[in-house]
Amino acid sequence: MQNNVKNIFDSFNDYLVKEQELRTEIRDIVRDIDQAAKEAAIVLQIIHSSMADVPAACAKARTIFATCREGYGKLAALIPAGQYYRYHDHWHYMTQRIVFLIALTIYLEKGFLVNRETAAEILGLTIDQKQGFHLDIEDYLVGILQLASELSRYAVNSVILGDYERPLMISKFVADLNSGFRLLNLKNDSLRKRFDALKYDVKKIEEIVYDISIRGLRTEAAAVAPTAASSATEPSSVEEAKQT
Amino acid sequence: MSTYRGNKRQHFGKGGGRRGREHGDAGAVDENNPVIQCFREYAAILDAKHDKYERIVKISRDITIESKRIIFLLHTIDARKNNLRKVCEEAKERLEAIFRNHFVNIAKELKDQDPYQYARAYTNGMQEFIEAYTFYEYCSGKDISNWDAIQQKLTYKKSQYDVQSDVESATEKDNLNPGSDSPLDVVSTSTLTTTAKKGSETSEMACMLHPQDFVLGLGDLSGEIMRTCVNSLGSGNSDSCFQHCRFMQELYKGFLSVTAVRSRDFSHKMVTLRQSLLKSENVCYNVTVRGGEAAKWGTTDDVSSALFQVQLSKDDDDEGIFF
Repeated sequence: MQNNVKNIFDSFNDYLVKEQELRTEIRDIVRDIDQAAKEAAIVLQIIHSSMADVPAACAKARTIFATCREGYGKLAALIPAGQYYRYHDHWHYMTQRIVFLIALTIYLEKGFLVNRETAAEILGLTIDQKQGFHLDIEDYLVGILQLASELSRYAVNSVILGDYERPLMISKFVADLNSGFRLLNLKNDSLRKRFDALKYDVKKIEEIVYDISIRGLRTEAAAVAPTAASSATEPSSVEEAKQT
Repeated sequence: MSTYRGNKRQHFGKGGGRRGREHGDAGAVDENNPVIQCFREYAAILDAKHDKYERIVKISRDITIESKRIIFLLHTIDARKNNLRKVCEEAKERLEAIFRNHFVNIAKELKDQDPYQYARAYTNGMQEFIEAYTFYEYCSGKDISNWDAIQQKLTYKKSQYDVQSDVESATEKDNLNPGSDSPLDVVSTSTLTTTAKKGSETSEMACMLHPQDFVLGLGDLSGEIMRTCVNSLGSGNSDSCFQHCRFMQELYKGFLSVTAVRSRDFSHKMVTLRQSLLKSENVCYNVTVRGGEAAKWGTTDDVSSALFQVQLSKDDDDEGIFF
């Protein structure tokens, strides 16, 4: 019996050592992807200071996503089948941030919300758990929530830059997001906590819209320079919203 | 019927109906909005996931309760009553029943899923079960199984679960059906299980035993052994105290050999294990110094045992239920 206990712990130690080795490899790859993601985040900060450079920043971010995609490919090759959630904690923060960056880029380019499938596609992932390495739904949703806080900041800065139309667009977009998130039954977990912060972003943006409206800045901007205010990428749904 | 319909239309026309108002408000739910459509889908996926998690937690809780009872049962083994065989038989049967009735259901839930995603849902039940199972093996004088052996028992072949699970599969389908109109995961699992039932006979499903759960379960085992050790002193069977104590020393050595484990539970368990070990060593010490007869009368209730809250004067049989 005594020997048996020793055997058990020996094999347990072997198991731990193997796991540790794999985790080290994962960590290396994750660090590389994370580094790239940081670059993208820095590039996209330009939106808060200059309107004209936004398309270029988006293009740059797109190339960085391609790098991330490669990294995810390596990661997918490393993770044994059916063990995604065993090592999930290594990359879930990073994935959330990258989803946020993708969502921001697509919002800036096209003005709509990237869905989970497209976000996964950009990273070379699937949304189907059974196909192995996928984009976890909660990571996606947290990424989208990060987008909301970034947009509240973007709204402030676009007012500073003299674009009074953009906050209105953002307001509508974030309101949509908000009502979307209200459809979810969230458990009391990190996603829930993150969601609870969304209402402050909504409030902040609504206050900006209020400030603009009450000073008549909105109509003025729309009447005087509609072409200057709206970039070429403005979506039609927002145009409609403006009219009403 | 027709008046009712008319009413409804009227409401709709005025925009007073619930749906009408929703379309009117900017912030309310607009079903045509692509964002809303996406989120409907996400909601379904999340709900399916949470439901599955909760179902597993429920099973896990049942396993915990039954395991605690089995441990309690095993504590009734008493050399004076000569009931070792009878109790072990019963414990074995009940442990087998847990495999048959509970773990098979977890395995069903985990079919075609990443088991690590739901590992947290049943870790408590699993640890308690491991404690009961290894305690049974210890009591009946067998070797403690390695986790591979138990994992083997937790892997269910197709033929094995098909016979007994007619009723269960019906309930399982009921569970799956409500959400099956939209979420991707649920649809594919339900279709997969049905095809598996009809088609390939070799299909296999498993309730994953996390090695760490196994080792933590062994850590819990030490508490039970300590109790057995103290109990056997009470029943005058002081020789076996030394045997129990030696086993715990082995266990402690094993725990010490583990390095670099990523868990707070683990170090916590180490502390408890050490306390249990010290308690049983103290018992052995007293047996040696004072003889089995004297130790029973509370002479172990000295400074060191007070430190670890040993209460030998209490009826130790009760304690099985507290831990």
